[in-house]
Amino acid sequence: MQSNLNHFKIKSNKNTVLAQMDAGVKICIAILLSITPFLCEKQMSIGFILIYIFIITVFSGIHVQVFFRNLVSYIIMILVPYLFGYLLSMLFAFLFSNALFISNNSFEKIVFKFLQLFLLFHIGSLYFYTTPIESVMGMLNKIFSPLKLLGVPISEYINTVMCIVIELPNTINQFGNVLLQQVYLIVKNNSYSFKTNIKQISDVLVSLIVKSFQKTERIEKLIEEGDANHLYLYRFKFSKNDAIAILSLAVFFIMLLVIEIK
Amino acid sequence: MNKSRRRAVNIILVLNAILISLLEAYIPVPVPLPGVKLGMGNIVTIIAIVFLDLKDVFFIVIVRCFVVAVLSKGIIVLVFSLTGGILSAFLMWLLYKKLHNFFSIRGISIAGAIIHNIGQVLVASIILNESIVMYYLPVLLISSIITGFITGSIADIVICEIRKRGILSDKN
Repeated sequence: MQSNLNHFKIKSNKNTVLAQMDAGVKICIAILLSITPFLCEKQMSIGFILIYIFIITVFSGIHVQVFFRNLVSYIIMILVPYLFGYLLSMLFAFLFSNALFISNNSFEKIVFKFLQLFLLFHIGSLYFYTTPIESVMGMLNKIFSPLKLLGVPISEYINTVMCIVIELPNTINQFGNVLLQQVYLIVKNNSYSFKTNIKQISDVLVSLIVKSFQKTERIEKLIEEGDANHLYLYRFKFSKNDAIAILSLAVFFIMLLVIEIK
Repeated sequence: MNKSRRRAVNIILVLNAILISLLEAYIPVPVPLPGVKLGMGNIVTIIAIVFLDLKDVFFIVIVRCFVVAVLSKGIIVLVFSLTGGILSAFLMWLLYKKLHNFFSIRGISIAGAIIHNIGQVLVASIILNESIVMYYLPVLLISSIITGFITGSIADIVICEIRKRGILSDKN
């Protein structure tokens, strides 16, 4: 029962090359790599990018569970609706010689598109997997600093997000197991009617909300203590790993260019 | 209510929304199809719509989507949940504040679930540049009526209890 609550507890390995890189350098590389598949026209280029991303994935030390969870999300959100639509459009075209929606692309093109999208999402996941949330927040604080001049309370938002990240494990430890047991017992007991099930789940949620508001003062204190400007300040730090990453990226781009021009 | 208290209330609601979303895995979905979820996190959005203002509602939805995506390292989830979340929160707020006499909490929840799924299919259609994804919409729409009704029923009881106990009465 605890497994679902552990989704958020998977920590990245801090000893990997990627984890030791600067968050700013890493995001620039991640953005460049995310755009690249969409600029390539040759299948061989996508194959080459896949190999490069595979090597990065190995270096990231990504947890297999994280990788497969993302893969399942991708399949459910993109692949299943597409395949369902593709089959229906074929069926309608066959039965009525007409279909409401028709595929805009050839099968080859769509496979190409699926790979491009998968790479985009995978690179994003790798970035968040190998970068501590404090660094991400500190960097966002810096990137959006021009908005502060317009009166947008960026630091306040970042501080709030960090409060949630800090408080989430406590909340899960405090309420998670009890809550799960209560819901499990309600769902397991098939003799209850739909209405009774709804009422009982509502009671569980009301009790959660009532108890959670008992810690309002503690959260207020946490907000006051965690001024984003002081806690999550991002400082650019260029290391040997960053130099190696940039060099490998440069070599990768040159080789990719050769493939595309050929 | 002062600013830091309001922020604390928002944080607690986001934490509750995340926790309630995690409970979903243990509640069987009446329509077991890929992409069909109960959307229990929506209960907290409805609570926020009833007791807080639109700015706080958006804040809760956006931060919830962002935190879940970052902590679960799933960026794909962020794209879909943000679009669906913002669209449904805005529609539900509009229905509750402007057409309260015509829509019950269950009706608002169903409308929210419908627009959430429309938003997600639209995103899939745009990023794939394929209209055939729309064929999946009727499946999701039928399921969203069922799931919206369930979460709306729960939200209705929870809101009544919160009102009775006066938990969020001073939060506006």
